[in-house]
Amino acid sequence: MQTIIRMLTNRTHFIIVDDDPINNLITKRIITKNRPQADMITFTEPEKGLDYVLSALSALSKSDKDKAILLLDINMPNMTGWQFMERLEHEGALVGKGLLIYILSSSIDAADIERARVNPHISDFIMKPLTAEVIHSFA
Amino acid sequence: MKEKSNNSKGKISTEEKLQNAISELYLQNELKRKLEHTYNLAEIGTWDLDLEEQNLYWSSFVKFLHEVPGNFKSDLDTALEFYKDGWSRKTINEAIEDAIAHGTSFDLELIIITAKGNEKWVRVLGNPVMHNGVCKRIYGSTQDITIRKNTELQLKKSNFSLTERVKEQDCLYEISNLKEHELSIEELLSKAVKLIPPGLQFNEIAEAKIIWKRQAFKTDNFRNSKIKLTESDDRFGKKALQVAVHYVDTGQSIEEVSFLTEEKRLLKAITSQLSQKIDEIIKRDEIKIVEEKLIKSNRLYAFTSAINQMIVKTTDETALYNEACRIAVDIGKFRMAWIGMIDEAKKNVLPLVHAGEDEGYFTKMAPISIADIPEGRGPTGTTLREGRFIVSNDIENDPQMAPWKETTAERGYLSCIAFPLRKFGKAVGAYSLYAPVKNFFDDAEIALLEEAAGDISFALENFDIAARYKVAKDKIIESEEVFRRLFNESADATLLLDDTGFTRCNTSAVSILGYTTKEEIIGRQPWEISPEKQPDKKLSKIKAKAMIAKALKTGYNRFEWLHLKADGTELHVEVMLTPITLKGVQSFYTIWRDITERKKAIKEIQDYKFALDESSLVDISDSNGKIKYANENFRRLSKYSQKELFDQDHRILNSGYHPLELFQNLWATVQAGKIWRNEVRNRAKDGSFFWADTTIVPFLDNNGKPFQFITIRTDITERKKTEEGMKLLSKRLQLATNSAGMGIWDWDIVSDHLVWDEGMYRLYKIDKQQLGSVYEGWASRMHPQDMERITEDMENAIAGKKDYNIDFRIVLDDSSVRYIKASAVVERDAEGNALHMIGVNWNITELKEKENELRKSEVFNRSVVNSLSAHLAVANDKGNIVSINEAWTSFALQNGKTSMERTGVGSNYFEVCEKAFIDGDEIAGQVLQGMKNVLNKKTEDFYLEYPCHSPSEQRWFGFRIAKFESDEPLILLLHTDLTERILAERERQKITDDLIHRNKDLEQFTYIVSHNLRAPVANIKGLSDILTDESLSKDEAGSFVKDLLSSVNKLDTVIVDLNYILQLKTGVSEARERVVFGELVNGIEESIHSLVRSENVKIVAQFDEVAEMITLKSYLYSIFYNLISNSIKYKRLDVPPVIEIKSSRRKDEIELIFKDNGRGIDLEKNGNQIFGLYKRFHQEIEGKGVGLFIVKTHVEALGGKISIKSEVNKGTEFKIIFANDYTHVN
Repeated sequence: MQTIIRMLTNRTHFIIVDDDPINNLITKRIITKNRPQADMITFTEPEKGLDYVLSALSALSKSDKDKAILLLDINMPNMTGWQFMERLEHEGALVGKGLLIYILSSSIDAADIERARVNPHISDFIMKPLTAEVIHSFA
Repeated sequence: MKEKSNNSKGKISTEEKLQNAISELYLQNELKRKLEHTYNLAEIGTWDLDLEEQNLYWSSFVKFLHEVPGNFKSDLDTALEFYKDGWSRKTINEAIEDAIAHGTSFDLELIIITAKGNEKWVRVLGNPVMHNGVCKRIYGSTQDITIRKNTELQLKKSNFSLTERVKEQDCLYEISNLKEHELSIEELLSKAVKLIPPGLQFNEIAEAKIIWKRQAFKTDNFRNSKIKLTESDDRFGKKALQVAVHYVDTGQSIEEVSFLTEEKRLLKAITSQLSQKIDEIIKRDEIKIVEEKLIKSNRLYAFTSAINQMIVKTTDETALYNEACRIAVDIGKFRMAWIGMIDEAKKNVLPLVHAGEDEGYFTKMAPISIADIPEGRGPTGTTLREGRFIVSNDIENDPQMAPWKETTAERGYLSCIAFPLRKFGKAVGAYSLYAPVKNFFDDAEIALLEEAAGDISFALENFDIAARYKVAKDKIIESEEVFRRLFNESADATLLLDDTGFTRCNTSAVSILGYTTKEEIIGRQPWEISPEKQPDKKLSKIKAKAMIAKALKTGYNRFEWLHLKADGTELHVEVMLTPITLKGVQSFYTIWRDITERKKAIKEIQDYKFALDESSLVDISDSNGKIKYANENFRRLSKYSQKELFDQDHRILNSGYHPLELFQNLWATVQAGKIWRNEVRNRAKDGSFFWADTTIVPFLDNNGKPFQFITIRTDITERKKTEEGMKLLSKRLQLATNSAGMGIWDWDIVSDHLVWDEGMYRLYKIDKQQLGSVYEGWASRMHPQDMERITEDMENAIAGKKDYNIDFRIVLDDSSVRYIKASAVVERDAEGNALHMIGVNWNITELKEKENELRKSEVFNRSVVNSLSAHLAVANDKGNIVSINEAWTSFALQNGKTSMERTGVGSNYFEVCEKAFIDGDEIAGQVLQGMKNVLNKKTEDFYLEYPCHSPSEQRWFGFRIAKFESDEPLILLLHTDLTERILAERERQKITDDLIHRNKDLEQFTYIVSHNLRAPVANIKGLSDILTDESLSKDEAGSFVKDLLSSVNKLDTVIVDLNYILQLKTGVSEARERVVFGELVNGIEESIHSLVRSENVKIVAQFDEVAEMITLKSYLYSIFYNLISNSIKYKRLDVPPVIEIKSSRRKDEIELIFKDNGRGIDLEKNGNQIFGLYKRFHQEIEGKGVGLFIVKTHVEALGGKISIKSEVNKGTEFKIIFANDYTHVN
């Protein structure tokens, strides 16, 4: 609830879904360093991340100023990043411009990159580790 | 279109109506025409009689049948007139009337006379169409059944003929057996007529009649009929003898009994026989009359002579009268004689004495008056009144004899004579004589008798012995002189015979026996001038005595006798022997008639005439060539009657065929008295021709001039026809042989002479002129390789072992080869010796070449078919195999483990498949159904692939059934060994699978690299980057370094795993071995026994069905180990793990099932990732996600497959299937 309220304070809000804690550590550090005013939330279990995103989306749709950025890993137990996307698409609430979805994966598999590219809901494919340049490139 | 036009015009136009009507009419006509056509084909014509319109329609075939033109217009009347007058027309008229009146349909077999006058049998069917009880029309059909009918009649005839012949012969025999010697003509004919019907074919309805000189002899039930046959004989005057057979009219037409010709023949034979018999009887009767006369006069001479001798001896009146009567009866052979005296007071005649058979005549006899009253007008009365003899030669019909008619008739007195007996000029009594025959008394006899009567009268007046004696003596001498004269001057050989032998004979007797003087005969006994035995083998001496005894007994004997002439030759005579008493000595008056010549001549003439008339056409013409007589054969063939031929010359028969010179030569020849002979074509009256072998014999008079000609012709028309036919045939044959490239040869085996016709020379391309001997020419052409064979075949043919029928080659001058076909027949004599060999040769080069070509192409086709590895058979629609190729044969031989495969030509594949199917072979059932479906055209073709493995070999076959292009329904059975293909396919599949697998592995590897390997690397990279930040605190930095280390370790683990996995996939060089499942499980249980115990694991192993397999032990161990440990690892917390492991065999596969009661995996979520690397489904349990990946990898490395079934909180079941790979059995 608190997070959602924060979202509404016109700051960039990062949602990180990745089962690899080390990677999340690195990601948080990069974001904190380069976007100090951004706040973020991390999920190592994709199901929980999905629940959060869905609730955040309904809040986002009420504000046209706030925006959230989802950094989604692909290779996760129980639910892959693609399955995550499917579930999200299935809920049908991705039309709002408030949520930007980025795939953040260690994969160098061309199939994964291509798959991300063709998905209209995915803004870009970011190859791990997340770097300062990538953070700056975010709008 | 039509609708449119209708719309535009609103209704159908008149034109269209007309059009429709026309086309309908056309259709009808077309139908009618087709129907008619069909009927025409069946030779059935149809007709339709419309009674309302009075119209009769005839189909074209009916017209054809009646031989009328196509435009012939028929009506009922004209139609009926075609039926043959009489029975046929009557029948059809009745049938039509009946049809009209009662609606009765009819089916008749009748005769029509066509417009051209031909007689045809037809079958007519009629069906009346009735409407309200009135016949509107009759339609029907007419069919020509002439051939059938004729055949039937022919058949009937031939069936009949044998029994008929027997009947006829019986009849003729019976008639010939009638003894004409004992019968009168009347008796003969009344007996014969009854014998005729049994000899006829239709004896049940036949009655016979014989007419002899207006006197008819009939069978008991004889009735005049129109159906009759008459035969007559003109020998005794025109139609003096007629024999007729009348058939009871049964309504059958005379056509039905048209084979009466056979009857006619019999009738003719009967007539001729009867005629001969009558002839015999007449001759016999004539002789009898002569004989009787002779006997009579002999008797009368004896009588008068006896009277005279008596007169000399007798001295008183009564004795004289008594003797006169006795002599009349005893010697004169009168039936009765009496002498009556005039009773002057009563004016009547008083019987005084009598002799012979009177049977009380005188008591019953009406008294005889001498007055001129009826009782006085009898012979006796009249003779006394008128004083002259009175004769009555027919008492029965003599009005003068009326008063005594009854009494005389009773006693058989048929003739009588009465003489007056005078005493000194005055009639005192009458001497009456009675004979048992009519017309007994002729002038000569009367004269003799009158003399005798006069002598009696003389004796009455002169009882002076001396005077009487002298007178009587003179009388005797005179009488004897008359007798002697008669005797000597007789033309017949006449002899007197008594006990001592011949006592007297005339000159005729001397000459007939070939002697010169009477003395040579006198004194000899008859048998002494006869052969020892008569023709009937009886001894002449005995027979002669018997004949003499018979003559004595009966008063006369006539018989045939064989004498020997002076020169020893035979003399056939007819002997007439009459006993007489000469001077008190029993003698026999003997007359001989030479019958040798007569008999012979008559017989010869009859034989000749018969033979000639039977076989030939005979006519007799006079010296001018005018025909005077023609026999029946001649008349029949020339179709002229006797009358038409009479006085014509032979030019009446001229056919214009022969040149004039022939006839000039004829005339010249016969005029010169020579016999002329030639084959002549004649023309009969009706214009038909007949050929006759003609012989003209001139009969010459004393001057050597012909006075008549007998022309004898033999009908050779048939032979001529045959000859002409043969000529034509041989001409045609010549033509045919020439055009067919044939040659004919004739080898006279006896003289070893070979003759060729032109065709042979052409065939052998040999110049006839330059050829020395035909045989050499033939031999020179012979192909050296064929010579021996031909010689052998010829020898066999001559020996009768084999027919000569051979193909051989000849070599022409240009070295080209000609194929010759030859066949020949051998002619033999009665003993079977070969005389001639006649044969034909013909050129079959072209045929042979074509054959060769065909054979080549056949051979080619065959070899193609045989070269196929596929097993090929062709079966017909009954399932019989009609052809197979070599592959089929050898396959059947080598591999025929089932009956389905052990089949060859002749086996029935339906049956084979059916049997195999019943025995449990499902494929056979499918094949059978397939064949039937293809044959029934249910399917175009049928194809089935099926495995057929033996313990040592894996095999697959393909079975294709397809229609075979042919005239008859055939199917092609194509059985192919697919093993190689299937194995190759499998290999390829395996390679493909392998490739796919590798690709998947590669993908997997890529994935591993990109995810599992990249992840720690990315972390390391990120951490390293962070660590370069100098603003990091020491604590912060230490924490990152720790993370970095952890990432590096992870990277290492992945690399180690990766290495292991890659090692797995590169295959193993380890040898396969027998692995016993039970042992494997036991080993694993042992290695993890602490875990098993602590977790209370229960492993239920069941390997009864398959206990072992040949495989890589370490892989199988790894599979078993991973699956067992997985099951323990992912057990449910509340339930102790139970692991069931089971093996089973499925066809050629081994199936292993691992089933546990663990927590299971949600397959819906993770199904596709189950066997992936680093997949873990239970985060709370430690694991790398490598186990199932390894299991899968190992299963696949062993050529197997793994699948999973799982339910969350229930358990998981893995199924592993290994192919039972025989090929790797050591």
